Amino acid sequence: MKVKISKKRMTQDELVVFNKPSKVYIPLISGSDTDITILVKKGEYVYKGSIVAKSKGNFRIPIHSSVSGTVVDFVEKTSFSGEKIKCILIENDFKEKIEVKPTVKKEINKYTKDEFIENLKENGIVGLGGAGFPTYVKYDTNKIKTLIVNAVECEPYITADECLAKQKCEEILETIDAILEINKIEEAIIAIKKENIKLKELFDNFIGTYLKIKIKLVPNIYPMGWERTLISEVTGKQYNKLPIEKGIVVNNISTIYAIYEALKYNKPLIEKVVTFSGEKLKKKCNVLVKIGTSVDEVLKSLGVLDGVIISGGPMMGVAVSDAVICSNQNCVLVLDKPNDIPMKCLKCGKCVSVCPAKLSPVLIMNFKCKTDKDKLKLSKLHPERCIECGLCSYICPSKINVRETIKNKKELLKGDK
Amino acid sequence: MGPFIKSKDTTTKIMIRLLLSLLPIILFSFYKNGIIPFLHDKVGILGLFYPLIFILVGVISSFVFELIYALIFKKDDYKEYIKESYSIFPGLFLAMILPINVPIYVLILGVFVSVLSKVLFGGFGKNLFNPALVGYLFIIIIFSSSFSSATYFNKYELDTITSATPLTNESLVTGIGTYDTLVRPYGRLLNFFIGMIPGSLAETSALLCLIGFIYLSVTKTIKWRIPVTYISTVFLITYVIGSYLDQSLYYPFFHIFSGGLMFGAIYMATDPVTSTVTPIGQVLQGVFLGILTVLFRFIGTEGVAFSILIMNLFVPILDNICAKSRFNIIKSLGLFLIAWLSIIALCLYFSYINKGPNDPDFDIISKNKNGSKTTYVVTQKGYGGTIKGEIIFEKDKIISFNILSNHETKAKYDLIIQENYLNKIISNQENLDNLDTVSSATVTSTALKKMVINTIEDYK
Repeated sequence: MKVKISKKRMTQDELVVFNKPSKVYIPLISGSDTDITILVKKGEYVYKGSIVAKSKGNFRIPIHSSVSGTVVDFVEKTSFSGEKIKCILIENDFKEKIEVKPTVKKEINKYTKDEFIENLKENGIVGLGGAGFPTYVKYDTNKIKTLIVNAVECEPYITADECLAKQKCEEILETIDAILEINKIEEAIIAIKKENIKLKELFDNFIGTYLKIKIKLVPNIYPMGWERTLISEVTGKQYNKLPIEKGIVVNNISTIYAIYEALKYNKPLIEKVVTFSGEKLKKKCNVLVKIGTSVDEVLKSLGVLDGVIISGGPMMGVAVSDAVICSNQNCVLVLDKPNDIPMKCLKCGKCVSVCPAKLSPVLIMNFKCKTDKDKLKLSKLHPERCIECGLCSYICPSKINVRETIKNKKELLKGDK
Repeated sequence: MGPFIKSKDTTTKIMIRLLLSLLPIILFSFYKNGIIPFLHDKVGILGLFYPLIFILVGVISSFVFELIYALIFKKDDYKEYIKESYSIFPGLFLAMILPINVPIYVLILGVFVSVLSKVLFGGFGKNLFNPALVGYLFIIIIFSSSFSSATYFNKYELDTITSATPLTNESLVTGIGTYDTLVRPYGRLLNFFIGMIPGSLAETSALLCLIGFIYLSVTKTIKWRIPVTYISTVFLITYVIGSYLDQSLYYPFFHIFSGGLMFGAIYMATDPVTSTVTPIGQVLQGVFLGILTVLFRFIGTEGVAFSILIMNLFVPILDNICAKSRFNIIKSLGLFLIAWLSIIALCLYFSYINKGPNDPDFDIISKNKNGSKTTYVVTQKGYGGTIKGEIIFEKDKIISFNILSNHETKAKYDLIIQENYLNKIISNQENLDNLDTVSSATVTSTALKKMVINTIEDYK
């Protein structure tokens, strides 16, 4: 069973710019890594684009300031995924002063592979789709045969990539072509949802000279944007752990555009397009915001009614308060408070038929785990393969939050290892 | 916690759709068992509404028993308990699968057992066995006399149909039957499809069950794989056996349209709580149900209810294996192998070891034992067609032999009567081989002689 969740369209296509936050809270997080070295002190003046921190892990991704101004404090705020994280509070002086940087090549396809990777690393480009994996790592190999550009955005409400693609269609195609040339990749495939036919037509107008770039329409189902589903739909290939096993790299539209700005202007990742929507929001639109902007500040300017603030889409997002915009954020929603009362499970099996990871959620949920032997049995049902897409909870006629129970079982097994 | 949007379907809506799909079946039962006998002056006003009353009693008693349970054991939140236990269904289904003439108190006792089996397992969602079928099993065991021609036939059928119900038909026990013995007594195969045959209250109409199936499948209410594989497995096996034994295509259709198969496959086997949740599990459950049902039928009993109860027991095992086979299909291969081998074995066994009587022209339609008397209704091929006769034994002796119908030439048959041949057969029953035939009516008189010889053989 495939689940069609129709996209709730917003009224306007325009891109609202929100670039005057009074202060920003630069989140000290890279992907899911919060082990970050702070490189600034209280009272220090920073430029827009200055490196203020660096991750300690293997990848050493720099984190940049998105405004010019003074470092005021280090405070805790809520991240994209709903966890409390440390942030650098910078007071905006609204001067948008930029540090003088080495000049860049005007032609973005004139980079060598090494320069390309160095540029992405220095500008802190990470995957903007969700996981926030450093982009340069994906390209640091010679095995790539296919680049898939993910323009799917399968969750309802979210149209940030679509909006960006419509505004910057030519730049995106130019960047894809440059990436193919620099990395000697054979082909690129832009995956667009069938319902989004207008975007395809737009790309078709410009695609003429780019012979290596193709467009593929994919079904309007959720979770089409999940890497595994997308790759299998577009190429018919299955992989074990990472798509690179089959010579495939997936980037979404926002990431491609961030690469464009990095190559063209040496501009680090300091702002992005985020969808602000939901029934309880007066003005529903896509907003270009600086990373670290307080979510509440943006919502105030759009006119918010009473409701739950959700970071992320309606399926995978979490309810948050006091949140800041992170680099891998794509959506903020204000929705009605959910008031479904869970009932008894009737074992209808719908969660089994919808699970894209081929799990049997109802069996995992009802599995009583007491002894170590039970844990071994449970592990054969592979709860760890859950991608937390939320379809099981969505489809459940008894309104049980199935995903949470799977997550708990997942934790139970993790704690054991 | 998310997701913050949910599908509009709810458990209550699922149950309402289930009820809606049952409504035409209930109304048809009212028409067949209430209105028709009433129009033929067989029953009064009470009899007219009796089918509806019968079902209503099942529904109400089911609700009341569970309410009593909730009031005693779930004092604090009995309202919540009742709200999400869908307590009318066990009684409703039980009433629908019982013969119309089962006494009301037997129905109520059956419902009590149904509800008991449900709450003992922990209530809605936890019961291992289909509650309605547990009640049904209880009635079969304790009140076995509730299941005979006398209880299955409504007042109108009692006068118009002389045979037993299709699946209690004796010829199925002694062989695989023929069109004349299986279908002819009830008209034609179309009557089976529409449901104008004797049978349980709501099980007879294959057509209405199929309409319900389509509605429930399109609205994603039931696990459609179970009935599809169940019914097609029965069809496949009976088709193979039937065609091997020179039966035409009517034979598999007779099997899928008769008894409780359609209703059982579509409504009872798909009970969400007691069926498998994995798609592969549902396919396997259906196939095994088909195998069991055919097996039960050929050893002489209607086995839909038993098959479903037996498979209920295996649901957790099927689910466990099939959940793993979602990652690796090979894991369910063993189960499929067992299923395929069983199908082949069943086909071979019942095709080669056909238990039918030696004389292919002879068939037993019914056999009723009443004290020291045993009454046979049998057929034998004569000169112009089948001759139907009634033979009554008392204390191992034939005391009566009557011809119920025949297609012999009138002149020849008159000769038999003139010769008083039927009485000659009775008086020479010890030594029939030496009894002379009637000259000029040799074929007919030989047929009558053979009819009695064959019956005596069965009686022994």
